Order: sequence, then structure tokens, then C-alpha cells
Amino acid sequence: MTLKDTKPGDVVIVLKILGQRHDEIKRRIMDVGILPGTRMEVIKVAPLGDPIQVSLLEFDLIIRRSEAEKIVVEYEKS
Amino acid sequence: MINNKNNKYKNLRVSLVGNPNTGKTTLFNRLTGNAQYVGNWPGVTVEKKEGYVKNTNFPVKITDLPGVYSLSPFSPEEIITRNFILENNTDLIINIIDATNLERNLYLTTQILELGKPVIIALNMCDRLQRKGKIIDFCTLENLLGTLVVPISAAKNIGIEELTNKITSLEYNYNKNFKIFKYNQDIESKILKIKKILHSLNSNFYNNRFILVKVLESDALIISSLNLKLDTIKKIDEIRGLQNEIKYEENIAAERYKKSSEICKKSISDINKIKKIKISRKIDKVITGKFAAIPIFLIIMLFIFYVSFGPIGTFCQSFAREIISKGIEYPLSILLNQLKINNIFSSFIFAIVAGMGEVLSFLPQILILFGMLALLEDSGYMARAAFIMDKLMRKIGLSGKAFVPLLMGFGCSVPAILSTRILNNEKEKKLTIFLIPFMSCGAKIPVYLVFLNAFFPEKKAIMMFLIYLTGILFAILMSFIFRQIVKPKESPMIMELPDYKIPSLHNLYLHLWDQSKDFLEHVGAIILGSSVVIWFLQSFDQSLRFVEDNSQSLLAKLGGFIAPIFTFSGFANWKSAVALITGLLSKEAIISTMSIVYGAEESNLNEAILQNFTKSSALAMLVFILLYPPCISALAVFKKESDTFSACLSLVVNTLIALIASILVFNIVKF
Repeated sequence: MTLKDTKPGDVVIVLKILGQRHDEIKRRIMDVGILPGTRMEVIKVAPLGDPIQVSLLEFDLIIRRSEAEKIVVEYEKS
Repeated sequence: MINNKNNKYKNLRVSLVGNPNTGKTTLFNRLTGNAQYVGNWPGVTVEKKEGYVKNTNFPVKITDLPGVYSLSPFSPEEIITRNFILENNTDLIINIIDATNLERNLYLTTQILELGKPVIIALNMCDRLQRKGKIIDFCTLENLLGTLVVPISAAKNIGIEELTNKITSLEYNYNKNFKIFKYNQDIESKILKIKKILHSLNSNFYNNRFILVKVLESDALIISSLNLKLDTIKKIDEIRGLQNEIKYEENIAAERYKKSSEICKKSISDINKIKKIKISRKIDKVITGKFAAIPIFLIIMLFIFYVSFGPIGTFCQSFAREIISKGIEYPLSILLNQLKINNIFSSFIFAIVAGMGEVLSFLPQILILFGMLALLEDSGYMARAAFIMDKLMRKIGLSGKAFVPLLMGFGCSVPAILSTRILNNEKEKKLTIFLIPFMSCGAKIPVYLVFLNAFFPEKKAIMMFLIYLTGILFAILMSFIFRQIVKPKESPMIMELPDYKIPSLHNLYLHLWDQSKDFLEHVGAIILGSSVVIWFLQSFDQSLRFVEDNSQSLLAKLGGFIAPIFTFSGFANWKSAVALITGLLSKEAIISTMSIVYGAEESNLNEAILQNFTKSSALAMLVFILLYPPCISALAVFKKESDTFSACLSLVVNTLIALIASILVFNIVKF
């Protein structure tokens, strides 16, 4: 499952970021703090269906579905 | 001792580095006040701000580096920031940190500390952290990082004096006990091996931990800057292991975040465990909500458009023109009359005064538009606008924010092109600037109306609509062609959604001041110069005699010379050609020129147009006016915001498109 497949209200844990070496998108994702083990909450989807708003650490982030597809996640075990 | 130090630093160079949305610009404004200037980084259109710190006893030059999350080699902002520091342009780094986002901010700090330069941490927004029920222990943070930490509130102007004192005290020079944080054993052993290789090569960088880590990450820019021989690169590749590039990129980032998280946990404590829902989220329930988001967005946009280009903007614009005409032109004409100055000189003077009027008349609209956009940006709404419009704008290869400058293009291309500064991506900015002239600007409306009144008095509204639609369709087409040719790599939109906040008036004032200064300096001269050129062409004939009658002038000759180009468009006469040429100065000039060359009052222009055009050629002319290059003022800001090549390219492309479209219209649409 990737972040793209989640819906608002879901709480997920990042498993892996997909991407080749020197992949700009992958690096950006990691640089803002999305790394294996990071806990994220899906807040909402933009009115037109893309991008999505997630929250991690102490801040909110907007990310396109095409980028969210690179983030492999699983539901948080409660 | 201190004196010696002061002498050593005749001119202390400080860089301000931090994440976006940390209050970096506010801090810069607080430190420098009015003593700042804005420019561009060489080769890119990322804004460069420099200034001198207020209230210091020796000059302290401070450079505001672009906001970044990391010193990775991808975005122009990241490359600028790290090159600026690596190239020894800086004696001291001030790293501004948002205390409410400590963990993510420290990720950048862990990289900055590796650069080995003196660092002062300016810890911003501690008050907000407290309101969240948390408290930060500065001493612990200072000890963990091994640097000076100064708590500030840039917005409330707290701690700025303390920070200035710390900068000038040069205390950090004695503060060499940076805590170099250790990665895991595997990474550390690799770093050591690379260090040994560089050391054996007598490279100056063997002691620069940042460089060593980047080499391990196989950062292409850094490796090529080291000018290593092939066999050295091979050796390093062996150390890293060929398949391990991704592994080290990932692991190093993970280790850094682990460290940041550790520091964060040790220095922040919860004093109040109540989990409150963020106020911003509540506001966003409506502002970015499913149903209200787009209507609210459109209302805000139309409001801005209305204020900038509607009655208020127009009033201010004519007021600026009035000042020039009443305050300069009128007294000047009396004076020149008294002095019995000859015609040529006085008409030259008036051309310059009119040019000044033209330059000044843009200022009110630029100020109003920029003021409102700055408020949107500062309050946090602009990020929401990007969120709301992204999907739609991506269809034409742009991101959500690009909607704003494009819409403003319907008012006036000049402020619209300037407002592309809200875009963060270089290529996107260029494409947006390129598309703005296709948004039919307000100055063209009277020109359309003259033609429509003559030929389509019953169908004015629908024709107007079709003209605007044609412009938009061409913009979509051009964007498509542009992307086929340039094939720009889609850059990610991974953007922080900052909390709403009340915009600072101090920032707004400085921002508007900078923008007007910048516009007058860089664009004023071009507009003024081109007014003089057109005046010259209009006032002299080919033997350089001063002529009162325009039809004898060089301009008329030039019109006659280029008129054959319009043979297949149906308006191949020098009169239309001259009108179109003066339209390059300003679109309003098309009508006044036509009334001069047709020898008709503006009110009788109908007759003249009916005689000189057919329905088909009038339509062709309208399409040409819609699509041909924007006025010289717009081209001047075009060049300023992108580059000379792009501005020239747009000039050529727009002329060709306008010509082809007008030929098609003339030959296909027959009445």
C-alpha cells in the first residue's frame, strides 16, 4: 500500500520510499522528514481530488498523488 | 583583544540560513531595517537579499539565503545556499529555527554544523511553542549542539538586540566545541577512508566533514567540484560499494533525523499535555473545504483583480499621470514658452516627461497588487491557493500558484509578470511569464471596442468573449508546445502548509519599498529610452528634419516598409503598420496613432475604420493585436524576471503567431 491509497483520517507508518539513486523526488520526500518509521496522518484531499494534505512531526504538508505513490506505508497498529 | 578582532573583520559577512516559513525574512528585515537591497542570484531568478545589520560598531553584511529544508543538490535554492557557504563567502552562519518545528529544522542544522563554520542558532517562535503547552530548554540545546542559541521572536521584535550583540561580540570564535555528531559505525568508517584518500591527495577538503559526507552520498556536484582523477573516483566507488549509493543516501538522511529527534526530545518538555486541535485546521475546514474552497478562492482573486485594475487602481493610475501632467508638464510648457525654446527641444522634453508619466503610472497598480499578494503570502493563504488549484493548473504544466499571475495578466502584463515571483520553480516561472501576454490585457479593451463598434456593434459582448477565449486557447496551445520542446522535468510539489498568521506590516512596508525601487531602477530606464526612440522616429524624416506632420516621419516610412508583411492579413498599409508599431510602446497608443494617421478625431474613428478595413481584415487586425508582443514595459519586466534570450524569443514567437493567426482569420472568415 502506498500513501496514494489512503483516505482522510488514516494514520500510517512509512515503510519505504521508492526511487532510484539521485532521485530528486525521493530526496525531497526524505528531506522534509518522511523516512521509514515516520508516523503520518492523512488530513484531507484537495477539493479537486489532488493533492493531499498529511501531517507529520509537528507540521502539515501537501503532496501530490504522483509523489505519494512513492511512499510505501502500512496502517499504524493500535 | 576585542579590538584586534574588530580590525580583523573590517567587514563581517553573515549568512542567514533556515527552512521556509521560519520567519527568516522577518528576521532579516528586523536586523537590517531599510539598509537592504534586492537582486537576483547570478544565472537564476531566485531573489537575493543583502543588507547591513543595524546598530553595529563595524559593518556587518548579511545575506538572506533562500529557504531550504536541506543542502541537497536538487533545487536552485539548495545549490545556491550551499555553494554560497562553501565558496567562503561567509564568516558566520545564522541558522534560524522554528521552535515549534524543532525536529525538522534541526535536520538542516545537522548539515550546517558539518560545514565547520561558526554558527549561531536564532530560535524563533518560542512563544508559540509555549502556547502549545511545551517549553524548550535553551541551555540543553546549546550544549547538545555546541553552538550559541539565542531565543528570539522576529514577529514581535524580541531578542533582536541580543542577537545583534552576539553577532558583533565574535564570541563564537572561541566557541570551537561544535558537537560533531556521529553517524553509525559503518558510515563513520567509510567517512574516515574517504578522508584518508583526500588527505593523501593534499586536498584542502579532507577536513571538511560536509564534503566527506557528500562524497559518500555520491553527490555529483560536490564530486565534480573536487576535480578528482578517475582512479580516485574509482577508489571511492569501491569504498562505497557500487550498489550502495541509494543505501548511503537513505541511511545518512535517516541518521540525521534520528539525531534531530534525539536533540528535540532532550530539550523540549511538555508542561501541558492537552492535545488541542490546531486553529488553522479549523479555519481550513471552510477555506480548503470541499464546497467552499473554490468559490472563496475565486472571490479573493476577483477582489484583488478588481481593486488593482478596477476603479481604485485606475484612479491611482490616473492620479499618478495627473501629477506628472499638472506638476511637470504644465509648468514646463509655460517655462519653455517663456524661454522661446525651439520646437525640437521642447518636443523632446515632452517625450521624456510623457515617458516618466508612463513609468509612474504602473507604480500604483504594482503597489496595490503586490501589497495584496504579500498579505496572502504572509497570512498563509497562498499555500492554500496552491493546494486548491494545483490539479487544474497542472493540466497546462503549471502548479496551483501560477493561477494568480495568469489571472492578473488580464489586468496588466507588467505587474502580472512581476508577480510570478510567488512561484518557487524556475522553469515554471519562465513558462508562466511566457503565457501571460496571451491573457488579453486591459489596455487592449479600448482598441477592440473601436473595431467592434465599427463592424460588429450588435455583437460586441460575444465578440469580446471570443477574443479573450482565443487568447486563453492560444496560451494552452503554447504551453503544450513549450512542454513538447523543452520537456521540463516535473518538479515535485512537496510543500509545507504553514499555520495561518497575522501578516506583519513592517514586512509589507519593506517589501513594497523594495519592489518599487527595483521597478523604477530596472524598468524605468527602458520605458523612458523607448519613449525617446519612438519620439525620434515620429518627429524626424529620413534627412533628419523635424516634421510636424507624422505622415512624413521616419515612423511612417518604417510603417510603409513593414506593411507588406500584412499582405495576406488584409491590412497591408502603412497606417495600420504604424499604429501597430506604436502599440509596442503601449497598447493605448494604437488608438491615438490611428486617429492621427487617419486624420480623424477619436470620436470619428468609426468612419475611418469602416473605410479602411473590411469585416475580415478588421477581424484579422483584432486577432493580430490580441496575440502580438506585449508593450515594451511588459518586455522590460519580462527580461528582468527571466532573461534577455527568453524576452527576445517571446518577441519573435508572438509576432509569428500573431501573423499566422491573422492570415488564417483573414482567409478563412469571410462575410
